[in-house]
Amino acid sequence: MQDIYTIWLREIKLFFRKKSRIISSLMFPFFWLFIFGASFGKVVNVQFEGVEYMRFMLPGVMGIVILFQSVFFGVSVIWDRRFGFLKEMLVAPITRNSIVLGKTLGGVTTVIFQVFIVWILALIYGVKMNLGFFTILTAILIMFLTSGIFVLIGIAIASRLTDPQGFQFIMNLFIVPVFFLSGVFFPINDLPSWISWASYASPLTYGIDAIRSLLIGTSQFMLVLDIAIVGGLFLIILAITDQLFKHSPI
Amino acid sequence: MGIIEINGLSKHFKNVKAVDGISLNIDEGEIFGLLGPNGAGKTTLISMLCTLLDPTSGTAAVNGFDVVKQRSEVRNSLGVVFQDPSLDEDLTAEENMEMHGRLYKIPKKDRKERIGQLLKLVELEDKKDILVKTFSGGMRRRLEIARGLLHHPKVLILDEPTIGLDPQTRRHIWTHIRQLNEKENTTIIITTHYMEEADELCSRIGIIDNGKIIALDTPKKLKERLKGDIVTVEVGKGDVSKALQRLPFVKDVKKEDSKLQLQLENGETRIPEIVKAIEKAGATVLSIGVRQPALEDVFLHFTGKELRTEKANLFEKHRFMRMR
Repeated sequence: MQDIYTIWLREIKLFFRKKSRIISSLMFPFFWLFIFGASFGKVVNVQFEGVEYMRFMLPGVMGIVILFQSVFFGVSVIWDRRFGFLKEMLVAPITRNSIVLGKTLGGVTTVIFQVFIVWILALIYGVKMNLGFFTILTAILIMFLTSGIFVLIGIAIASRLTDPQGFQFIMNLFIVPVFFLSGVFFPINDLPSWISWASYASPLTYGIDAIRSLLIGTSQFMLVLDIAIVGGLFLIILAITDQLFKHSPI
Repeated sequence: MGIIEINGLSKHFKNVKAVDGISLNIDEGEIFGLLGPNGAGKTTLISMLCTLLDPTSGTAAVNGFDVVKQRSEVRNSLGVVFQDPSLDEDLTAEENMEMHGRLYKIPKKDRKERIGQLLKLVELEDKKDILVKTFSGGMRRRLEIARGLLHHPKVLILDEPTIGLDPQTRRHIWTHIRQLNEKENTTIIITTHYMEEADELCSRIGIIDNGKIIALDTPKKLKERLKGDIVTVEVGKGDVSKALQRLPFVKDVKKEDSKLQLQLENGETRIPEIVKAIEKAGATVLSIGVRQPALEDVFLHFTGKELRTEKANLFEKHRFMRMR
């Protein structure tokens, strides 16, 4: 436990040390939500399932933050290897599993922190949403699992690569389809059927759907199904990443 | 019982035998030097000792713990300073130490106290709150050495500790290494391709080449093995090595660039005969000199090649810069 905490602590310290990065990473969702979301909703005056556009889009934007920030967290493994700190961790009397878990929890914590900022800004802006105690708790659980999936995918890819540029490239290939297929901007049941099938394959679809069902009250799938899928995937990917990291180059 | 016991240890990568059946015992309190050219297998051997690589065959034990079966105990017994830097540049010196202390589960009170002591030992206590990013190569090395000692390791491994550093900083680090060997009674294993470093610091030296240990002794005894003196001759034209080899008192002739190195006893008194022999062979002597054998000569004697310190130095410097 202490090992995991140590690795986690380092990630948190490093994250809060780079204030400029936090701000720049928040610009993107900010524009989506308050400029695109607010104006598009006004201009076209769309409503999905009786929900005004801005409200519909908020969980989607939270999903974007989770996706981008989680996936690119993995590059820290490559930098750790480049700067040699990975070796320091590998010769320490801790298991490789705890390195993976510590880094994952660290990444997830920083991601949830950023989602919170978007969340709070939306509240200040006046976006209406449900905010019961259990609603918030469940939403955090969903964010945790969804972010965990993408952080682990990032770490898994990074444990096979030594080059940060290569990592960026691969991750961009991965992010773009997930970004468009996960019901960020529109409900996926209105899509042509072959695209909606592709959407079912994206883990983010279920994360966003669950957050939407909790905060906004509209959803595609049952909440329990969302949680089960996201939770199951998290465990599977954790096991795979553990194995990949165990055999990663030094 | 040595603090390090290595038995028939080998590591093969595809068809390269990086380490080829090394057996070696190192006693507690020693400063042991592994001397060899680049690619001799030093780092591979070290990686196996600190559980980063699994041996292909053979066994190794650190502080009585097997490097394959008791990894965690081995890691607790070892402090490692790698050839390439392994600090977190975005943390301060103290935070780097702190992180290490936590990884090795040193209780908070001890941790604080020991970090203070060690930073003082390597003269970085006034730099403790500064980001490592801004540190010079020498400061980083000193910090890494201090960090390696934090958890009271039985053995401290230093893989090329002074590579890419200027001579002054190098001497500085030698002083620290000697001090902590005395003060903390830590066994130290140091790999290097700098002759003077090995000569200066080590109580025993293992010369390693092509994955094998080819000589093992104290620096003094290794030098004594080359009985007598080294006479270096520079000859104008023509090949006179055969003629010199025929002289009865010359034990060995080695060619090094345009110079010839003769190994013989009572060097001074033999100079006239050597000059005569060279002139008889139809060549002229440009310069001639006598000196005591250095470790470099020992190395040349055992491996048949020079360490090429200068070239290696340049190459390593580039590599070091790239890592930054």
